[in-house]
Amino acid sequence: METLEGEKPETGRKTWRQAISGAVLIAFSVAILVTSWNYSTGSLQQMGPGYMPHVIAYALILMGLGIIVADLRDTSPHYAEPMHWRALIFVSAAVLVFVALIEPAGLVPAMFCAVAASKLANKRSSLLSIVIYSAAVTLAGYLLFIVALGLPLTVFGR
Amino acid sequence: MLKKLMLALPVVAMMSGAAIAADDYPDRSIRFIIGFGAGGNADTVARLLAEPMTKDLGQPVVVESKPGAGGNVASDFVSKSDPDGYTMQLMVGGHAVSAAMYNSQPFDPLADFTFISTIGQFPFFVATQAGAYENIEDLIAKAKAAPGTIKIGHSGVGSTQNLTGELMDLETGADFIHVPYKGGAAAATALLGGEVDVVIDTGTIMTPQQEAGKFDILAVSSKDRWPDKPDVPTLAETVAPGFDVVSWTGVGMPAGVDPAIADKVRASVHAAIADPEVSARIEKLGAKPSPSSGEDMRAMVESQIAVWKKVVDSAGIQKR
Amino acid sequence: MIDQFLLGLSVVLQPEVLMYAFFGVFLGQVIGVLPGVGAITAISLLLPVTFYLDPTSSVILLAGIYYGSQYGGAIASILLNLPGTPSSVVTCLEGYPLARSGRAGFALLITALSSFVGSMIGVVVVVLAAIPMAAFALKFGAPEYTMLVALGLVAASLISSGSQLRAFSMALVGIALGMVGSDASTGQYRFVATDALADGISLVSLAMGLFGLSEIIRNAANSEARKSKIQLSFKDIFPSKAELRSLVAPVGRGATIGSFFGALPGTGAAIASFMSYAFERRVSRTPEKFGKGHLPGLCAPEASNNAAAQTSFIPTLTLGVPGDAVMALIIGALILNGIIPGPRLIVDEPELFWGVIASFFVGNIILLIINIPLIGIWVRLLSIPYYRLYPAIVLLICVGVYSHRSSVTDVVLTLVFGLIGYIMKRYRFEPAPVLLGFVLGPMLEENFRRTMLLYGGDFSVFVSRPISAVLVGCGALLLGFTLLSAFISHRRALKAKHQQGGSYSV
Repeated sequence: METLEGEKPETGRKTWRQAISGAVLIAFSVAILVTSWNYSTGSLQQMGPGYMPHVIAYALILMGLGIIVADLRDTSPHYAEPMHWRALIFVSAAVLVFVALIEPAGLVPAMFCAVAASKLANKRSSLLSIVIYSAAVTLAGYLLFIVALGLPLTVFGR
Repeated sequence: MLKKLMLALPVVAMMSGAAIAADDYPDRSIRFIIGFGAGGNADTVARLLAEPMTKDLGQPVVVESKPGAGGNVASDFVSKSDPDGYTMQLMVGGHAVSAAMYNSQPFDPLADFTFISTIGQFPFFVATQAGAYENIEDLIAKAKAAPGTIKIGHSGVGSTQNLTGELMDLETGADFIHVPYKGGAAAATALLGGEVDVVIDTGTIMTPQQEAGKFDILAVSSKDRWPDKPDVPTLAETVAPGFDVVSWTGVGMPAGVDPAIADKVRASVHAAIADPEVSARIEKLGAKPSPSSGEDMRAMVESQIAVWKKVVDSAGIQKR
Repeated sequence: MIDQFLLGLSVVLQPEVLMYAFFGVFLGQVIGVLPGVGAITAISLLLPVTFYLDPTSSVILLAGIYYGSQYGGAIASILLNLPGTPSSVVTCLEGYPLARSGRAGFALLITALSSFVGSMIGVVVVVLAAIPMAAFALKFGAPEYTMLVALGLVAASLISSGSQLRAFSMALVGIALGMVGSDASTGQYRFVATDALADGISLVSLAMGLFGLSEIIRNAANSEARKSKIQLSFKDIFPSKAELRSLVAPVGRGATIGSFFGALPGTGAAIASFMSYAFERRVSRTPEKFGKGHLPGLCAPEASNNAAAQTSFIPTLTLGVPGDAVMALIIGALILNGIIPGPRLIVDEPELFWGVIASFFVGNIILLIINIPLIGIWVRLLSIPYYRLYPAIVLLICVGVYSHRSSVTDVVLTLVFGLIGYIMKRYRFEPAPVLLGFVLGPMLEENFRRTMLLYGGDFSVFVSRPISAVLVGCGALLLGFTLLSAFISHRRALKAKHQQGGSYSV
């Protein structure tokens, strides 16, 4: 399904877009450094918990710089699909709904609502089809996880 | 429509949450938290109990592993769980050790727990590769002759094994290098491969290797010789007079559990230990079955914390 | 050896024991398909059952779950891009593209066959060489493990089809993620933002997010029914003789690498499949085909991780030291049954020892037999249009991740990694090296720190110990070779640019 239709080469990309991969990596490394700054590094023989995080963070900064340089010199066009906003939002919503419901409400309501929410990620879904589909998947999930596998999960809320 | 449904569900769920009563207890599965990885001593003991307790209480007792920081991750988790009787913990001697090792713990090792009962008590053994040393006196003499060269493998910083080794340093005046491994089995592997010279751990780890002729067991950490291995001298009678380390396993719950529920669980634990098959297996693990009351267990933990605190302080061990 | 193996066979072929072997591999396979519900969950759930079985049957049952799940993991990876274990991450790399091009049945069959051959080679290694291999494994100390893991990380830059700089930086990100939780050497917490992170990030949520969820986000909006080019005829599924012949060498290499790594306690199947994938890519004449459904890249790692699944029983059975959590559970089952596993097991309990080994042999045959007819069913799953299938996959991920540790935070993190994985792909970063770094990072740190402690901070230990020195040499060669080939392709690209006024990529 990785068709190239609807994708356009990002020509004339701005410099900041080219540098962003490396920049994000450097930002991540700096975050590691800041968080682990107070962890004791110890000595080479008796390393503390901070030793390796610092080493990895510095190495990542180097990598980030290298990637910025490489990306800026790289003038070949790269193809990027358009963002899948709808799918991104509803799939995220589905996971969050599951998270919100699994402990207070139990497995069955969580499964039903999560499936319903994720079904919205695709335009091809009417209300009725969502209800029928979610009920069917929930039933299948119940049979699989609870009846067949006997996972230690709460089926309905306490 | 869908939105309304999703909003309504949590409300319905909350309303259906029934009140907890000791009479109904237990009406769902009970989590049995262990602070160590699967397959170790703690795990085995927990599973030994879970089986008969499940039958006795009529609800599944599910063993759950939450390893990390010498059992502190699990203790923290349990101390902050609902005291509804559905979370219990397999406690080990490390519970008292941690209380001494940490400057601040995210929980109070005594006040935050309901103590149910001890299960078994067991000592540690000092082992070396077969034929490496004549006896414990020889090992200590060689360690004293060449300080900082002989390596003790242990099952993690802050474990009872680790502290027993540090105590051996302190009491004998020898100076070992203490090397952490992920668990006793990994330390034993290192001793088999000759990466370390000494391992201090439990009988389950040592006995099979000793029987196969790979390890020599030089000494035991308890005050008196252990009935299982009457030929093994104690550290106390040889190189470190007064040395007495015995670890234990027990069952605890978060503070504030309804006494009726605690009694119910205690009775179930005692019944499980009394089962001849279970007690035989506890003995196979190198431990003495030792059911107790909640007060006795609490007093034992309290006195051990005091002992370990004294050890940590006088040995100058860096607290965390 | 043969006599003893026959003794083992006579144990396994008792109807009752055979039933447990069948039940074990079947359950393992089913459980392996479900991401997050791995072998450990299944074995923990079944452990109490083994109370009522004799020790041989219990170990045969539990072992069957273990290697059965190794194969099951490949199915979810090929069909849905859902890797539940590190080794099935590698299966995704070639298997999923094959399935997308309509050749899922073919991919599954190739996987089944290479897994079978790999397992069988693993079993032969266990039968013939268990004792010497165990002795060899003991020669691996902290310096050797450090270098072995470092070698694996260098190989990480080879498992990417894009820039090696990007791949290596992703491996470092993986190492960083692996540091979350309590530090194994001092017990102190690092990067623990919430209590739920005290045990570290769960591998399942990282893999499900980076691979599974990001792929769903990419495809969920796609409304077209999947083109019904599901090919199920004999000709479409079965490889041609020429294809089979071309796969002999990769499968052989994969099984060899797997047998070796499996026997080392603690490294196991994960590193084995990554290593053999990197190795295939290195020796291939057509490395550019990897990542798009290239067969050697599918079957070598499969053979490798299945061989490793068999040989990982070597340290457990011959030394009594468990290599990973699953082995620890199996040892736990033995102890509960009153048998303390150790070096004397082979002498004291020959029926158990050889019975278990013979059960590997029988179990893998059962696995192959139940798998071939199942391929048809699995493939039909893909004839469901994606827009009907994906919500169920989202659910599978949520429940799988949650049930793994009963942690809501894990599920939230899965979503976070899913979004990161989605964005990463747009910026040409690949997820596989992150996983590798995540798995190997903690091993690297633990062993490096232990080496420094044991040898007083002296780096020369890495070259003065023979095995470690060989590993250093391999790493240096690999690095040199990679740099050289990068340089050559860079030169070629420059030349092409001069000739056509075109551009080159790094």
